[in-house]
Amino acid sequence: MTAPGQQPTGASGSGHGHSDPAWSMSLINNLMRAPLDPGYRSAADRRAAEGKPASVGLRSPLLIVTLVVIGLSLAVAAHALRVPQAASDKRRTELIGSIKARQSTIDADSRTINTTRRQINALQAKALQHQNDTSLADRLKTLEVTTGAGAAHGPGLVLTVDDAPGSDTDAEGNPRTDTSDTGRLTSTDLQIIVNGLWTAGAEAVSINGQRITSQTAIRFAGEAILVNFRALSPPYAISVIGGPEVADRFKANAGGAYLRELVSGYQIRENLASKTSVTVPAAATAPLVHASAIPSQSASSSTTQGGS
Amino acid sequence: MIPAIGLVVGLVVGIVLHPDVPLSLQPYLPIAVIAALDAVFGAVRAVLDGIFDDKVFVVSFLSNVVVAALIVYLGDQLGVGSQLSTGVVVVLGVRIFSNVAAIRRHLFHA
Amino acid sequence: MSQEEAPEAQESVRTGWERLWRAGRPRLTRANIYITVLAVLLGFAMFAQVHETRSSGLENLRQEDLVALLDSVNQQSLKLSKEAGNLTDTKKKLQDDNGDQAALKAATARLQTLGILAGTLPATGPGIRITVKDPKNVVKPSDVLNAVEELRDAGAEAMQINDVRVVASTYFAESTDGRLVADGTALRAPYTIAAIGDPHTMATAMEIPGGVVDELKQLGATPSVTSAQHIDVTALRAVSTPRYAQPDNP
Repeated sequence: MTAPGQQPTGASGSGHGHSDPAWSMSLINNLMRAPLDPGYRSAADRRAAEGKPASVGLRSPLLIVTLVVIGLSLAVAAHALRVPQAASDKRRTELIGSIKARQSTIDADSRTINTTRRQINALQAKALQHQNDTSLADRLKTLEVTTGAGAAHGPGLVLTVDDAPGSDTDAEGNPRTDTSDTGRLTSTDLQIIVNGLWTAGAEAVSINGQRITSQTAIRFAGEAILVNFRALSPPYAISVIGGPEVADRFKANAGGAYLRELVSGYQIRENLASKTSVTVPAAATAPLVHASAIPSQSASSSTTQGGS
Repeated sequence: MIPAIGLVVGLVVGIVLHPDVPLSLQPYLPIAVIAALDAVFGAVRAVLDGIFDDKVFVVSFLSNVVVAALIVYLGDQLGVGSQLSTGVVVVLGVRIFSNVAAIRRHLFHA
Repeated sequence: MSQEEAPEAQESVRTGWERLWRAGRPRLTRANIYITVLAVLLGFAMFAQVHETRSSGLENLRQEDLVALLDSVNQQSLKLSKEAGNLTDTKKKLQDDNGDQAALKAATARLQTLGILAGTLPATGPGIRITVKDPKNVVKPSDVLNAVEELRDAGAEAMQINDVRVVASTYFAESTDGRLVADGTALRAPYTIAAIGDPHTMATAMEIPGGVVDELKQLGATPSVTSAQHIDVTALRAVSTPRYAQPDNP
């Protein structure tokens, strides 16, 4: 009773013979030229032969019922397939959004802390000068450099390490590569390299602008390396302040050997450049919450708690 | 106009009720959606070409969905389900694009 | 056939170039504006996509990691905003008339904090003590390094391992006879790590499955973790002035 019984001889564009040089492409050509169901044409021809108009109206209840069904199935399908994925994606996006928001708050606070700290230091230096006690100011400055609470500059080197070529995240951000033998640097690699740099006599170290302090953890979460709770992306530029011997000592110690193994075994890229001047930024130090100085042995006379 | 309202009504009912689809049917849903879309765009084009027929539309819709689901089912049984799904999506996708191009020529002359 | 077509082809090549030239001239036609807008959109989309693909930071984290990270970042943010507020107060006090006294007070407080961080002052507070018995001498520098990093991540504020204070520049190495060395001092098993910080957070971080305790056990060492309200970190590091690193003066 339905149209498909008839062959679509009259369908437009499909009647080319084998003489067509592009015959091998006829499947695609056919698809492109005659995308319309051939039943429409034959039904129209049949109606035309019976003397009726070629097209029927759009008010047929069958059509409307079918469209309701199609709409329903579209909504159901969209609902059934979309929800779990979208929910987890949305949650992720929200999480990333709030982390980024928090990190920019941290950045702003860090800037405030660092500028206020500088102003306070200047005021303190003036005040301490009044009291002829410059040693305190000097001690503070020294401590700020060694703890990473103050920015510092000096001769040193910049060691840049990067993932092996081709191990970049692919377009889908495919997280399948959790094995460490893919030429991707891990937090352990950076830990060992930084440890080797300290062994070699480094005085201050920062990675991609994140100063390494006594409270800094270099850790790995999923695919990213976190330093100071900040996700870093390769290449990792490790800025080191230290004497001219640091580079040679690093190459000679376990950290250097480890890096050479990474280079030869996993195509990790590295570049060590000695610099006459390297700057490392200050890390914003949070006040100590748990630790306090033991008063009796404390070097200063004051008993004020450290985390005031 | 009325068919379009019908489509919207169906969508709204689906969104409001959002019935649960059995897990075993879920692999067929994307293919069914594409097949349904192909039928809808084909129908719109037929209307614009002046050769629309409701029975052809209904039959083409049903056969599209059934055949698409069948291909995916067969592919799953043979272990090449995803490849066959891709094939179906490509074929129907090309048809949808060609029909949309024809609709565009009708409506915008561009 | 090709001879006949050759001049025509040349003609069309020339007109092709001419057309391109004509189309290339900047003119303010509607078509040009459309094309410009579309090209800008395309460029933007391409850059956004490339940028999206490149930034392999947060996007690659699993959801659990994101939750954990958000937690740490929140805590850090709270601490820092508190510190920022404190510092602003201190600055105000310093700018007051009797600023000298306040300056001295603030300076000594700061000296204490930095002294604890730099390891030149003994510290006390709640924390945990980890004892690692290592009769078979299996603990390597990287294991200790890993433990220290985990403790730092869990918020340790002051640490010592045996009699060596752990500070920013502390390194772990292996001596030629296979002994564990920290900052040039040979360590003798059993190793004791004392860490001041939130005891619960640190103990949890140590004892999570696959964490430090698990790994040490797998190696054949016997670690034990005890929390205490009073942990003393008394090992000191000599006050030393860096030879090369100069402070950035304000």
